[in-house]
Amino acid sequence: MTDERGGDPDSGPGPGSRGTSEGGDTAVPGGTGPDTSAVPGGTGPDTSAVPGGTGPDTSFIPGGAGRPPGPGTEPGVEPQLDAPVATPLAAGIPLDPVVTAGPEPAQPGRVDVPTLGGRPAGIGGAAGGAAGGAAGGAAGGAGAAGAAGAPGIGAAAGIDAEADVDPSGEPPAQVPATAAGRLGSGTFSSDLSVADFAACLEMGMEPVGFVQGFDAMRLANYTNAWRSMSMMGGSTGLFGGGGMPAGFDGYYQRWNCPHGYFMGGNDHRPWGANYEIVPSEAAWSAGFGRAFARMLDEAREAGAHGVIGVTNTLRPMFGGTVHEFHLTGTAVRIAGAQAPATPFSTYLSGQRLVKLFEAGFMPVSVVSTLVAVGVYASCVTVWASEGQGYSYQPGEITQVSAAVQSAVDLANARIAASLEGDILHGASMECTTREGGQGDRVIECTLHGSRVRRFRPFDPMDRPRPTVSLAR
Amino acid sequence: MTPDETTIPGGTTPAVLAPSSRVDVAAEVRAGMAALSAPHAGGPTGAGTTSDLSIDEVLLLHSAGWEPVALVAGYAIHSIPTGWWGWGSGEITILTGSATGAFNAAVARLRQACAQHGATGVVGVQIVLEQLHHTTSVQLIGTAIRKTAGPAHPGSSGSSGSAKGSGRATAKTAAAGPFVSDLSARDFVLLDHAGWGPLGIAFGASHIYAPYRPGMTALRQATQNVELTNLTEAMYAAREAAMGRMQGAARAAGGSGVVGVSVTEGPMRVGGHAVRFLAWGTIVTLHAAQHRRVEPLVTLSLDDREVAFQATSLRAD
Repeated sequence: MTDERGGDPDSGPGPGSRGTSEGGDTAVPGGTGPDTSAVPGGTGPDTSAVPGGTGPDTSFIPGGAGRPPGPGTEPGVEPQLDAPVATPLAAGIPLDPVVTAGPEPAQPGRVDVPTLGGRPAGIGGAAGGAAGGAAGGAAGGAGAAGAAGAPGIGAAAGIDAEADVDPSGEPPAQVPATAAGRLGSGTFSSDLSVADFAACLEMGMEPVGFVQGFDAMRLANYTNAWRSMSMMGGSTGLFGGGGMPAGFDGYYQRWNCPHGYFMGGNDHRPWGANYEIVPSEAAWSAGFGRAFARMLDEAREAGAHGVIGVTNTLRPMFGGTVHEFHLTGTAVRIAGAQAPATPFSTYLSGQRLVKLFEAGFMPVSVVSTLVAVGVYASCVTVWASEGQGYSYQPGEITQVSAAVQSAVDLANARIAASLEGDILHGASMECTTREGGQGDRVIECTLHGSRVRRFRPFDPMDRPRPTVSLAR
Repeated sequence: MTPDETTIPGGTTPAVLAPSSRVDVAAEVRAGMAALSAPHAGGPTGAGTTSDLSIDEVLLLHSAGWEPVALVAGYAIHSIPTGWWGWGSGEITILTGSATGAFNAAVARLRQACAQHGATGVVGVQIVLEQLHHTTSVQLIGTAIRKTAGPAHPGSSGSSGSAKGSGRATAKTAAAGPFVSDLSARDFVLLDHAGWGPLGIAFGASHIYAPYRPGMTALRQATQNVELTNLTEAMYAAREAAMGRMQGAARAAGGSGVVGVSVTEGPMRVGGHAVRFLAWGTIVTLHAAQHRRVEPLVTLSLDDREVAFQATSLRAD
């Protein structure tokens, strides 16, 4: 997992390398690589589950329908990976002591311990995520959240910020008491520059607080194809069939050996497959969703109508598989406006936010998704990736092309399908690859952006006149 | 340029956006908030549009009669068989073929994605080309755009009956399929402003052996400040081959030339004694009957340049 830094007011959620799109063997037109479909004994790629289909939805899309839990996320599934450790946070145990500044100054020698209260089990769906992970097993905690824990943010059954409302009607208390006191103390904080602050006031927005949301989470590494395939329910093992596990509705594509099983002995793989790693997506979505929801909770606590200048960061903590989701933004209140059911949020701030409004666009929410696709390399892919075998001429490694293309297409399609006719503005796409040896790899594609809604008809501005500056 | 060159109608309009003094931004924000609270007409099943453009770029495209349709991408990875890329002479065709094949396949997918969205072309394409020991991968991503259905500013190619020669441009574009360009939206609009348009991305690659010097020559030159002509000549050979291929691709596409050329050259990780030269850029063609003068407004900023404070200036000495 790589660091992600959002919040570039120029174009949206920050820098990031770009990914790709279009996929599958059938979705890789013009591929010049080995074609396994025409080889006797090989059935060719199975395109029954193609990108852009009705695959599961793990996007973090506030208000979205979410996705059903994958096979590895269902309760009762035997754990295949290490069960997540129930963190103190998830178990309702206070966080490590942190000195905080509340409305009443902390007494010397006294340590205020902020706790994130709320549901008895802990923090919304988060408690279910970690605690449920122990029961749910392989999903790495987050995927099992919806099944074993209380439904809420990050629950596998649906990532929905608005769903984080207690059935009793009481809003969840996701804001530590000390933070709530600080947010209501009468002074505001913000990370806006002076110029952005001025633009904020020009728009009739009153900054009320620099709000943040954190989520520290163990994200399992699914690079090992064998464990990943087993995790998905392939009880027969890699060489016992390797077909798509029953109940799996994510992206899956298979490449058969074109040589016949007799050729290679134990080292020769009879088939390969691309498969969507649903638990990884659910875990990411849960972590991002909780951090986002906590940031919005702080905004609500401060009486804000929205959050501008949002940044999002994902970075490793202490090495290993522990990661920190961190979202920040400046909560604002708009004089004379009706409070929306859910505070709006956007990566934009300053003059570009002014332009957005002047152009007739209203920010709705930041949206984000991650799609993870594993590659269990076929014999042809193994050889081509390592420069060996019969591939004396360069050719396309169609299995890998299809995996990356599918990941990008899925991310794009899921975001687009969730927009309800709105627009994703300033999108930022990042694709990373983790090698697993022998051509195996995991491709992760994240897509961030600001969802905006047009509230005024199209009204093009005059064509600007080019200028040449004589400065310098 | 000829004396009767047309200028862009409205080109003398200095406004970019109505300044805040003429627009009640706070009222706009309140209107937006009211729309957010109102029932959304889009419905739960309506797919939206996606783009990686900034708000400036969106507004700029709209002013020229274009609008974003979708974020699109193309990816391809080609293999490089194991070889000894240090001994030999001439071109390493396997490496060149790998790079060219991956690039062209990725472009083809980008075009296909653009066409699937019913768009006219892709702008702002970001290109990530990675050549490792056994693979060449190319990632392309950009925003597919199309002409707006509504009125555009007079003079823009997006509006109907906009400029002389637009029919010729439309025919050429239609024949070539969706265009692909790594130019920014701003550059695209400026190009359009001048009566030109993109046709695609031209790519040229060449990987050339840098032959070893004879042993005695190497020994003699070990203590000299001397040009290593074998390496210089290899770079020139790679440059000529790659640039020639890129310009050949532009000719094949019916373009007049290539703008915004990027080059990558020098030693590579694949071979120990070989050099490569990669070049790509946007193929452009004249859409209008003739080139239009942009006639930029010359400005002189009266702002003072920022002066950095230096603590050492306070010293008495």
